[in-house]
Amino acid sequence: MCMFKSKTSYFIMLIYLFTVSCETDFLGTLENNFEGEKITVNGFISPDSIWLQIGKSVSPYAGSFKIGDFLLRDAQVFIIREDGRELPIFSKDGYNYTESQMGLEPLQYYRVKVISSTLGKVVTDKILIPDLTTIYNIKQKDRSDFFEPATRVSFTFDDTSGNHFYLTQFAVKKDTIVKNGVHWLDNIFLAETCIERLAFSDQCFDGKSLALDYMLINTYQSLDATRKAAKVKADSVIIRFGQISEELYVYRKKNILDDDAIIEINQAPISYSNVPNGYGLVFGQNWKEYTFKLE
Amino acid sequence: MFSIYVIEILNNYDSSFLFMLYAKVIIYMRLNVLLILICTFHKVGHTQNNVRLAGYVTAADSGEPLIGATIYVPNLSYSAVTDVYGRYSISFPANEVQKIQISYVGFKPLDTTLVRSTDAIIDFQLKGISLQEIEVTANATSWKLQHQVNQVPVERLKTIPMLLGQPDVIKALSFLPGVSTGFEGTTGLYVRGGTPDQNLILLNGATVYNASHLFGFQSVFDPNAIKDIKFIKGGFPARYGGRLSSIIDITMKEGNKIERKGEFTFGIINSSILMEGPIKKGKSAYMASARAAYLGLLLLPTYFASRKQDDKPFNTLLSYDLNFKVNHEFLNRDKIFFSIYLGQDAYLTQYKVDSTLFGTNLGWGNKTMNLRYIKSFSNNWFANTYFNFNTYNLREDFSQQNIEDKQNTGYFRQSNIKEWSLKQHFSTSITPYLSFFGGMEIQKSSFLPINAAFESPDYDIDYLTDKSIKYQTISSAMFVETEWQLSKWLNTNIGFRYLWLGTANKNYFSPEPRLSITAKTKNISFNVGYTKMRQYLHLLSNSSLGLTSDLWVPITDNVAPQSADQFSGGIIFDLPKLKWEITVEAFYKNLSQQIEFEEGVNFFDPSNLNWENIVEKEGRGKAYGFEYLMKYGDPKFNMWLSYTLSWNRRQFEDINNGAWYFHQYDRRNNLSLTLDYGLKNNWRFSSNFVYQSGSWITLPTAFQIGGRFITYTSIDQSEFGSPSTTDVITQRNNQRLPDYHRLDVSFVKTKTTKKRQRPAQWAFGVYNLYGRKNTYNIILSGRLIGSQDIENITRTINPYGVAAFSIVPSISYNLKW
Repeated sequence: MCMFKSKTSYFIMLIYLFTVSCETDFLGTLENNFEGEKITVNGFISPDSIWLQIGKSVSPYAGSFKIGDFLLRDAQVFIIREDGRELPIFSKDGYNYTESQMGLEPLQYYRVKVISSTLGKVVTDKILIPDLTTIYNIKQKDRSDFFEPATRVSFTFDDTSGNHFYLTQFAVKKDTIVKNGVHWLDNIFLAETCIERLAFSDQCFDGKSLALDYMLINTYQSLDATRKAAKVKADSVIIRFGQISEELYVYRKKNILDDDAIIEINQAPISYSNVPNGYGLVFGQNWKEYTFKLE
Repeated sequence: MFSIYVIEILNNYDSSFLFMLYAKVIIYMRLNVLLILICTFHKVGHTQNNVRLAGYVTAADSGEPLIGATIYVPNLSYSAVTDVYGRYSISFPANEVQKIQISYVGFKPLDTTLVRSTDAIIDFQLKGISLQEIEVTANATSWKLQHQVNQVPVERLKTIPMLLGQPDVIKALSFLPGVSTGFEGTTGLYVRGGTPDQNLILLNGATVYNASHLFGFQSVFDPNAIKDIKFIKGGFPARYGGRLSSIIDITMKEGNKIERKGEFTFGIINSSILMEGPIKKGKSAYMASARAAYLGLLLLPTYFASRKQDDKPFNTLLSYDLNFKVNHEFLNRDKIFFSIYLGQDAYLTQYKVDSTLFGTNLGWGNKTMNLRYIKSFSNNWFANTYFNFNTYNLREDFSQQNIEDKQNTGYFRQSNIKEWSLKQHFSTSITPYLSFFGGMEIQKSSFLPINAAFESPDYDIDYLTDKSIKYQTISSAMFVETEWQLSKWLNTNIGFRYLWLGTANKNYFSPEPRLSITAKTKNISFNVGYTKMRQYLHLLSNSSLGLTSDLWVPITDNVAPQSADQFSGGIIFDLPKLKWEITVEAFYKNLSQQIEFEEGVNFFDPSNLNWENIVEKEGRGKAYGFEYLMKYGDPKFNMWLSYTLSWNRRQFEDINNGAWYFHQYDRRNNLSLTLDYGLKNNWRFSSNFVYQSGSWITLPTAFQIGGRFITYTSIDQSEFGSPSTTDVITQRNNQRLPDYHRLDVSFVKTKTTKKRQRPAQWAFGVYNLYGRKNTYNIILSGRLIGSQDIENITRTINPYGVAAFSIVPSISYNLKW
C-alpha cells in the first residue's frame, strides 16, 4: 500500500515541482451553475435496518456555509412498498433517519419519499433489497511467514442466475475497537479479470459457485500512551459478506479515484444519483457478519 | 516486383491474411496499370513538343537541398515545388524562350531564362540571405501552395521567444490558426479539435510517439539539426495517413557537402552542439548533433533541502538527444540516406520517511532509425524506398528500502511500442499540369501498453509481469494521388488511400478518399477539401497535464480504429505589393470511435493491466470553426496575426450521462500576434502575445450532506454518521477557466567574434513579461472554523487557482563556425 501511496505522492509532487510557487488567488469569476436548493437523500435500506441522511443542497458559490445549512428541518420521510403502502420513518437525529424494524423483505423493490414544505417532494427510483447470500467452506489460516502477521481467509458462495452485486467488508478487532483491515484478493486471476475491488458484479461467474481467497493483515496502527504510532495486533477478524443493489456498485466504479486522493489531475466523475429532481444515492443491501478469533 | 517482395515478407502470416493481401496487391497492380494508361494518354495528348527539366535546388554555401522551393514558369502560369529531397521536375514547350524563377524563404530568388530543345538535368543553387532580410510572406504565385499546408521557416521560428529561452519548433506551431495548446508550456498540440495523439510526427519519415522532453516542457527536436518542417492540418494528401488531425513532417539537415561547419548553443536548461561536413566533397556528407538538458541543476535546492530535512524530496531531471545523419549521392544521381535519432529522459526523486527511503525513477525515450534510397528512373519518374524502425519506451520504478535491514520493496511499470515499416513511393509528372504519386506501405507494430511487477523480499510474487498483454498489429496502405491543373485557374489534388489494419482476430478496412480543389485569380485563391482519415492507435489519458503516464494503446478486436471526416475551405488574399497575405479558412471535423477512460477509473492503479476493461468506446466528437491568418513581411519587420474561433465537443454513452460535453481544450477564441523587428547594430526584437479562452474544468454544481460511500467497503463506518459533505457534479467540463494570455519578448544580438570572425548570437528573453498567473485549475477548498456545535460549524469556500508559470527570464548564446 505504501508503494502506491508513494506513487501517488510522486505524481502530486511532480505537479508541484512546476507549480508550487505559483499558487494564486483565483482571478475572474466562476459561472454560478447552482441549480437551486434541492432535497438530498443518501443511505441504504436492508431487511433489518434503514439509515438515511436527508438534507438540502448548498451552493458551492455562496462564499461560505454552515453545516447547519444542509439541514432540512421539515422533512418527512417514507419508505414506499411495491404495493404503494407508505411506511413513515420517525426516528430522526439531525440529518440521520434510522429504523431497525420496518419489516422490509429481500427481493422486494422499495422507494424512498421525502416531502418538504419548502422544497417539495422527491421520490427515489426503485431500489431492490437483494437476497442474502451466505458463504460456506470458510477456512482461516494464520500466515506467520509474511512481512506482517496475516490471515488467509478462504470461502465459497453460490451465485444464482441474473445480475447480482456483492460486497465484502473486512475489519480487525481488538477488545471493542474495530478497525478496517488491510487486505487484498489473493486469487490473482479473479483480481485481474473479474473482481473490481471489494464491491463486484457476477458478470464473469454468473450462476456458478465462486471461491475467494483474501489475505488480511492482523495488525493496525494506533496511538500509544505517548501518542506515538504503534502497531497493535488484533485478536479477531470480521468479515461481512452479502449482496448490494446495483446502485452502490455503479457508484463505486465511478468513484474509485476519490479513494486515491488524486482527483485534482483526473476528470471528476459525474455524481451518480437515483434521486430524480434531487441529489443523492440510496441503495439496498443484505449481508451477514462472520467473526474469527486469531491465535 | 515490389508487390511480390511484399508477399514474400509476409509469408509468416496466416493464409487468410495472405489471401487478403494478395487481393489487395492485385487491386494495386490494376491501379498501376490504370495509372500507366492515364500517363500514356497524357503523354500522347500533351507532351509531343515538350521538354522536361529536372534536378535539385540546393543552398549554394552548403549543398543542402532546399525543400519546398518554388520553380515558377510565368509564361505557363505553372509552378513546381521541390520535394523533401530538394528535387524538382518541370516541363515546357521545346524551343521557346522560358523565363524561370526559383525562390525559397531565406534565399535570394534566382531568375533565369532557358531555351531547350531536349530534356535536361539542371541543378539550381540559391544564395542565402541574412536573417534580417528574410521575408516571411509566402510566394502565393505557386499553385502548389495549398492553404492547409504550412511550410514553416525554421530559422524564423528560432527567433520566437519561448519558455526558458529554448527555441522549440513544435511549440512555435501553436501560433498558427487552428492550433491550440494544452497545459501551459507543454508541447502537446490540439489541432482543429483533435488531441495530441492525433498528430503524426515524422522525423525523417519515422514516427515519433512522445515528442516531449522534461515532462512536455520541451520538444525532442533540436532546432539546430532541423532543416524543414511541413505542417498539414487539412486537405491531407493521400501519401500521408495514420493520424486524424495533423501531419508534422520534420526533416533533419543532411550535412554540409562543401565544408565542415559547427554550431554550439548554451542555454539556461540545456546546451547543444552540431557538427556537419563533407565525407566526399559534393557527394556525401554527415550531420551529427547532441543536446543535453540539465534541468537537474535548477533542482539542486531540493537536494540541499533534503539534506536538512529527510522527508523533503530530492529531485533531478535530465534528458538528451542525439541525431546522426549521413547521405551519399551516386554517380547516377540516386541518393541514399541513413539517419538515427536517440532521445531519453530521466527523472529521479528520493526522500526518507522514518527508517524508509523512498525512491522514484522515471525514464522515457524514443529511438528512430531510417534508411532511404531515392531513385530517378528518368527526368519524370522517381521512386523512394524507406525502411523505418522506431521505438518508444517508458519505465517507472518506485522503490522503498528499509534503512535498518536494507530490505527493498519495489514496483515497476513499463510500456513500449516497436514499429517496423517499409514504404515504396513513386512519383511522376506527365505534363506540366499533371503529376501522379503512388505507393504502398506496410507496417508491423508491437505494443506493450502496460507491464508491471511488484517485488518484495517477503512477498515474492511478480505475477503482474506474466499477465501483461502484448499486442501485435500489422497494417498496410496503398495510395494513389494526382495533382491536376485543369485550367489556368483551377487545380485539383485527388487522392485515394486504402488502409488495412489487422489485429489478432479481426481485420479493419478503410477506404480514405481525399480531395482538394483550388481556384485562383490574380490575387485571390479559393480552396475546398475533404479528407477521411483513420488512426490505428489511441492515447489513453485521464490527466490534464499530458504526463508520460498516458498510455498508447493499439486497436484490438474490441477497440476499433478512430476515424475523422474533415471538410475545410478557405480564401487566400495575396497582396505582394503591400506585402500582406491574408488567409481565412473554415473547417468541420467529425470524429468517431474515440475512446476514453471510464468515469472515475484510476489509471495509476497497477491492477488495471487490461485497459480494455476500463475504457468507454465508440465515442464521437465534433469540431468546427473559423481561422484567420494575416502575415506581413519585409526585411525589417515581420508580423503574424492568427485568430481561431472554434467549438470542440465529445460524446460517450456512459460519460456525462451520455450528453455531449465540451472538450477540456475547447478554446472558443485563440489569438496570437508575433512580431519581429530589426533594430540598429544587428539587434532584433521579437515578441508574442497569446490570448486564449480558458480551458474547461469540472467543478461541483452543489454540495450535499452525506453521500460518501467510497469507503463503504470498510466496517469502520465512523464517518458514516458524521455530517461530512460531498460534491454534487452533474456535468463534465461545466466551468471555463479564466482566459489565458501572456506577452513574451526577446532581444537577439547577432555579431561576429573578434578573433576568428565567427557568427555568434546572444538571445535575451522574458516569457510572460507582465507576470500573468494563468490558472490551469481551480480548487474549491474550504476550512472549518467555529465551535464544535455541528450546526454552527462554518465552512469558507475559498476557490483558488493554480498557475504554472509567472515571469521566466532567459538567456542563451549561440556560436557557429
